[in-house]
Amino acid sequence: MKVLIVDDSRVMRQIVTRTLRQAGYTELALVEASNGLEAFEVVQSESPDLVLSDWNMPEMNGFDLLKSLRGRGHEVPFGFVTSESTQEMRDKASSAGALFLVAKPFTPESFKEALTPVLG
Amino acid sequence: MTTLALAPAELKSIVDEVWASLLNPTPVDVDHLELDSDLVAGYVEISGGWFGRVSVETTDKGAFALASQMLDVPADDLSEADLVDAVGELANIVGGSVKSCVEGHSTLSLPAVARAELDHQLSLAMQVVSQWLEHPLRVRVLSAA
Repeated sequence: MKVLIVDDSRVMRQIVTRTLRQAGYTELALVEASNGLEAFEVVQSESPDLVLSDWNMPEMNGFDLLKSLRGRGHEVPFGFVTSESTQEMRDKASSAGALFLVAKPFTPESFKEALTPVLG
Repeated sequence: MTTLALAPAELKSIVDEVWASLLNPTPVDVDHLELDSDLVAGYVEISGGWFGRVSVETTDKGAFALASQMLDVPADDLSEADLVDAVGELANIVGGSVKSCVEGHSTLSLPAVARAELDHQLSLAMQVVSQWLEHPLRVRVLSAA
C-alpha cells in the first residue's frame, strides 16, 4: 500500500515516517509532498491508498487540499496529522470527508488506532 | 475579549508531552536558565480575541542538536533550513496545543524562527525552562498587554 505524507516541515515528514514504522507499518511505500498544491498533483500521479496531511501549510492548506480532491471526484482516504485539534477543526475535517484527525504530538499507538480501519 | 484559559501547570503538561514524544532523553526541569547569547527562537502567533506568541527557544548548538535528533541526521550534515524547520515545528506543536486553550475562534500562524530576542510589545504570561542534554530549552507564552 502507498501512503502520501503531506507536511511543509521536512522534520515532521521524517517523524511521521518513523512513527509509521514504529506502529508496525514497515511495508508501506511512502511518497511525500510539502504543501497542498504539490500533494494534489502527487495524488493524481501516484494514486496513494491514504493521504496523511498537515492542516496549516503555505501555498494550499490541508483542508483546501481535501476539498479540492473531493471537488474533483477523488475519494482517496484522507486523514489529518496536525498540531491543532479543537472540536471545531475535528467537526470541519469530518464534514469535509476526513476519516480522522491525529493531533501532534502523536504516538505509534495513536497512529495505529487511526490507521487500522484504513490500512489494517 | 476572549482569554487564554491556560494555567502554568497545564503549559508544563503540554510541554512535557511534546518533549516525551519527540526528544530522547527527556529534558530535565531547571529553576533558572541562561539564554542570552546565540539565541534561536522558533515561534508561532495566535490571533483572535486573544493575541499572543508561543516560542521554543534554545541556543544555536541546541537547535542543531534538536534538528539532528528529529531528522535522524548527523549535525554536520544539517543546513540552516533544517535548524529553522526543527525549532519552528516544535513551536508549532506546542502552539497548537496552547491555541486549543484560547476561548473563541482564533488562528495559528505558520511557524517562524528568529535569532534575536523578539520584540518587547508582549508580556511574559508563563514559561517552562529545562535543559536537554547540555542545551538550554525554554518555552514561553507571551500575551498582548
